[in-house]
Amino acid sequence: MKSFIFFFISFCFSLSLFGQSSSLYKHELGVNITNVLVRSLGNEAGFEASNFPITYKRLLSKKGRYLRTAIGFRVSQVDNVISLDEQVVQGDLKMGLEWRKNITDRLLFNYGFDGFAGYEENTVSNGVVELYDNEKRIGGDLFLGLHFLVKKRIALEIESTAYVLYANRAEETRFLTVSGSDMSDNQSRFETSLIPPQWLHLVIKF
Amino acid sequence: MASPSYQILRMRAILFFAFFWVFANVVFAQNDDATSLENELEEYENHNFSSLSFNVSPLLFELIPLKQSPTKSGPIDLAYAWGYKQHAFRLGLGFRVNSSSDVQSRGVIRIGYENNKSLSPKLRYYSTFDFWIGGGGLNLPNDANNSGGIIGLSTGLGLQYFVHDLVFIGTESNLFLGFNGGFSLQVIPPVSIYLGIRI
Repeated sequence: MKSFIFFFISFCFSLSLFGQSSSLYKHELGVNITNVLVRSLGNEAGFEASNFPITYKRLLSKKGRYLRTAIGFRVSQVDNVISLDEQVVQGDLKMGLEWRKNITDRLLFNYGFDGFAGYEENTVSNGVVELYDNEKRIGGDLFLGLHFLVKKRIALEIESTAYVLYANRAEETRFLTVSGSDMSDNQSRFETSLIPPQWLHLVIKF
Repeated sequence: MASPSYQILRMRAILFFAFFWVFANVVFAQNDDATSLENELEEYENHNFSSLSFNVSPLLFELIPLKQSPTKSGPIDLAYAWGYKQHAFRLGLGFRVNSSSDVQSRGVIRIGYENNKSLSPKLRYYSTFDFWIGGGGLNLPNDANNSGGIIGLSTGLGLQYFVHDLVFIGTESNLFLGFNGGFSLQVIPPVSIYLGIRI
């Protein structure tokens, strides 16, 4: 623990030594590093992972307007010890526009909007019963954020987002050995939230 | 000799304060000239200003090692203030609404008045009078979820530490009087930490 504190303080001091003023680069690639930090600190309890771990931004105008996209996807198949086969297919895409305003040499205020859509499918089977569900979601958001330049080509970003989302979820219980007895359910939900900054992105500019 | 749990608690507290102290004083320290900052602040006090504050508690609390439970970081997630000299109109929002019955929905709007003053070139305090309306609880630690409405008035005190002439870290506490699922007279403790900018 002491070494962690020492490392952390040293890291923060090093940021000030390498501080640079802002420059415009055409491409920005961002990675959500919150998962790594949270897991390394043993804080996984109650942590909400983001659906968008990767972001990419393209400079559109020298006044600081960006086209932004974010993606997240997962395809996995697990055969675990209690003979359950689990399959997950998930994909999310977000696209929008972003504007920036300089607050200081190294701190920028960014704001804008996004539209997003996603699909997720889960299947769990034990060879007799198969539980299947899928969810389609679509929505949009407005965001306000801060972009902190650590170095000329490296930045840290946080965002507060207000979003609206509509999702449709279909669930099925399939009895693999008995035909004609499957059960299904279909539900829709509406969601709107103001999310305070809870994810930290590391951004590389090139 | 101190017990292991006490030692862990102490190390967590040290890390927490180290984070703030170092981040505030080193990372943002570009224009550290106190006289210049004082002039800047005097200038603000004689002009219109607007500020935007982000509730960064959920992110910061995730970075404290060995956290055991999800963070409840207070009712307001985003706050905006607009004013002239020491007087400001302020608006606070926090909501999470889900039509699914599995998820507890909540939402609060806070509208009010703020009177702020300098304690030092970097430190300001402010007093507030607000009107609250919403539902679903105040999202406070150890607060039981409730589906009742919230309506009431509050008075509060807050502190802002300017780590840069346009960037501050702040927190505030309120005394709430009204209905929160039932009659309520309660202190809303300073559970939220705000990172704010003057825009």
